[in-house]
Amino acid sequence: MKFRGLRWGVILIVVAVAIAINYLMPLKEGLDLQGGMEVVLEAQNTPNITVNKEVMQGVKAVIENRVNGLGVSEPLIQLKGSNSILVQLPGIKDYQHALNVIGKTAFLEFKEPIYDTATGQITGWKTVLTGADLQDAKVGYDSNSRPVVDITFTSEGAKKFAEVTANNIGKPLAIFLDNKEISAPVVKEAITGGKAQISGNFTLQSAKELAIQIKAGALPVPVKLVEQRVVGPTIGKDAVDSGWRAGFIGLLLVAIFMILYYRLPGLVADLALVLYGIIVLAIFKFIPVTLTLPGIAGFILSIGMAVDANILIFERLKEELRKGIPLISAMDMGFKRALPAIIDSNASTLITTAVLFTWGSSIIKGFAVTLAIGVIISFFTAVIISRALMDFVVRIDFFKKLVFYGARVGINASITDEVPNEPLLSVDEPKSKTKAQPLLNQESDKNVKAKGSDEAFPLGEKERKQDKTSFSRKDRRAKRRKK
Amino acid sequence: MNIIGLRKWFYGLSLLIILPGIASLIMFGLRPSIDFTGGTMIQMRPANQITIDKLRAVLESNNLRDTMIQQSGNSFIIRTKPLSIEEQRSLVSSLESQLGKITFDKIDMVGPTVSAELVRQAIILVVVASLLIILYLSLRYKPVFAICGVIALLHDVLVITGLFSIFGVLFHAEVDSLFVTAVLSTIGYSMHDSIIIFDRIRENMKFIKKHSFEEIANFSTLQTISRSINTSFTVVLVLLSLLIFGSPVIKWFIIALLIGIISGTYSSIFNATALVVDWTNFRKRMKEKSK
Repeated sequence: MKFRGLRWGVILIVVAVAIAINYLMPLKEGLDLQGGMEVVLEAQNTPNITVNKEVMQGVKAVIENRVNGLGVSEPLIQLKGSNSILVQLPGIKDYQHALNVIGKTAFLEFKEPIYDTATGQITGWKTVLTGADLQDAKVGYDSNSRPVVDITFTSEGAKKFAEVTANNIGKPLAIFLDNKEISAPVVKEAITGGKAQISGNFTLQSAKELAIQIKAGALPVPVKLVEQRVVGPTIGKDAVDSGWRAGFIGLLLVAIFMILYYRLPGLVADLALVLYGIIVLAIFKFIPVTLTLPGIAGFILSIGMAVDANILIFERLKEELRKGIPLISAMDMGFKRALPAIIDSNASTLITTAVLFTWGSSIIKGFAVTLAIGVIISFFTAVIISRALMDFVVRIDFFKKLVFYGARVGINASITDEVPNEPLLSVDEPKSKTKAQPLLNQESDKNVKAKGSDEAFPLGEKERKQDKTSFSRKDRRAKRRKK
Repeated sequence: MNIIGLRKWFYGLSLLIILPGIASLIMFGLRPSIDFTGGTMIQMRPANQITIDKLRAVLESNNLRDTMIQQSGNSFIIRTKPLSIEEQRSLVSSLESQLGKITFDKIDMVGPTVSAELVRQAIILVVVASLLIILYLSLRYKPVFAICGVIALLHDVLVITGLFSIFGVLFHAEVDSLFVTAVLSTIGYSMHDSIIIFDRIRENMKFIKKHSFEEIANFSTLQTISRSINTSFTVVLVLLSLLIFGSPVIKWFIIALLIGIISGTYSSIFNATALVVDWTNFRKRMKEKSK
């Protein structure tokens, strides 16, 4: 083991970095955990405007401005597909208010009346100014302390507004929001200061909403709510608390089971599992992965797979020990022989997660990411960390007793007993150094009393190497050709 | 122990679970959640004691007639058509004005276009994942292993969906995006399990001159069975504690995973390899006949 020092170095650095990250960085929790709202809005075509990329950029800019007006920390606004936009507002409590602010077109128009020249009746309205002429808006109160929206025009808008009011003294000037008249006050005198007040039947809430919308500007096209997920703050917190508690209890049970069943290697696996948890958590924080409920499920499932890699190895180790192979080489073989199975099974899981990540919705993606990270890291912890720990442990004399490994030679003899055709046992003796039988009193394992091993398929290193590929296409083709 | 020799019994046990599931699927189908049908789901806890009738009256005053209301303790779940922003606002304000203060735990709305997309996506996910796994396994093992592995995997999908159809009838269990996630994890997991056994068979194939394939398959299964069961057991331990101590929000997700893991382990041990044996025997018989 030339690289043993190097290996320990790598492990120590990785674990130290992981602990530092865990200490320094927070875990990003998804909406379903911390509560909040996620909506998908779909832009609608109008007779004048067809939704395209530029329009969507405009929609996004306006929604970003409005969300800023809401004062949500860490919002996420993202274009989705060709005509949709995803808005995530973590931690928001008044989602009805938020929904109204971001979902309304908020196209504001000031209109002067058109009169029928004959009768003097108002027959229609002509737009003279729009929301684009406004610079600022905030909530104020009128003389009856009813909420109103105080507006400030841009310098250009102020000029236009002065002109319009001068032309319409004694006449109504209507204010329309999304083609609905909200008020039509009568102009008393020309307003030149560039300031005005919009009154209507406002509640404090709706006045606030309008003020934010005016400041952020109107959406270029109307949007429609196509998907919405609101999670109340308590339910998410309950889910997190109970989720972690449940995960912890589950892991504790697994750890106890591993020790009871696999003894010393089980303890080593548990230690590797703790390191696994620390490393995976650090990676979640570093990337960062936004943790959702399905994400936690993916993480927990990946723990199962991390344990599995260890179980595969230790089962193999037990098997080798039962054959009477000395501890250190049995462990070598355990790791080596379990490897192809671990690689293949992890690869198939990674294929699934890649599919989930590529075509899945955001819920499914969260699950796929945590599972994939878990599988990759579990490979590292099972194959490198467990290995290093085991290498260390088996060299301590005290731990050389086989009772620590839960293996008694011949314990599972029943397997071979019931395999038909006893002559299995007389399969050609392999020539390699790991030859298996009959093994009596191996030098390094004095405690082993091999009572005729249960090795049914003894095979040597060379044979195995040859045979590994016998299932591959090439081999099959070659065989066919020979025939 | 001759597991492979007893395979007819294990096939029978599988059918015993799958057939009622299929019957239920044909008769009742699944209970899709709003993810797949479109609609609005509101989960709420009113501060005051209210009755379902009172709640229904408020909903009907908002022109929501075709609604489903479910009560568990002081928590109500309302399911109705997709609601626009304005409809939601007026519903929430009339609920609060007529029933007193209400805590909203969840409000989900899925429009019809989104739900159609989610259905399409779920089908694509299952099909693409299965195909890629077949491809990978065909490269690493004989194609017959890949195909039998995937049959075992379809077995698991049938077990979960069948049981969820039955649970839907009995306990109103719904099928949503999380359910699809559970099915896909099962696919990954079941394959993972089958591969471990296939890998052992591949390793033991060098004895094919002295022993029948059936014997090798059986022995390989026995060699790996404690690993298969132990691994599943550890995952089941974690899932069970999540089910008992975890959030009720993901209860059905955990149940789906539990069924999937157990079924996946079962099918890998008792079906996947057995099918390969049946296929190999079938091929042998055909060869002998043609001679």
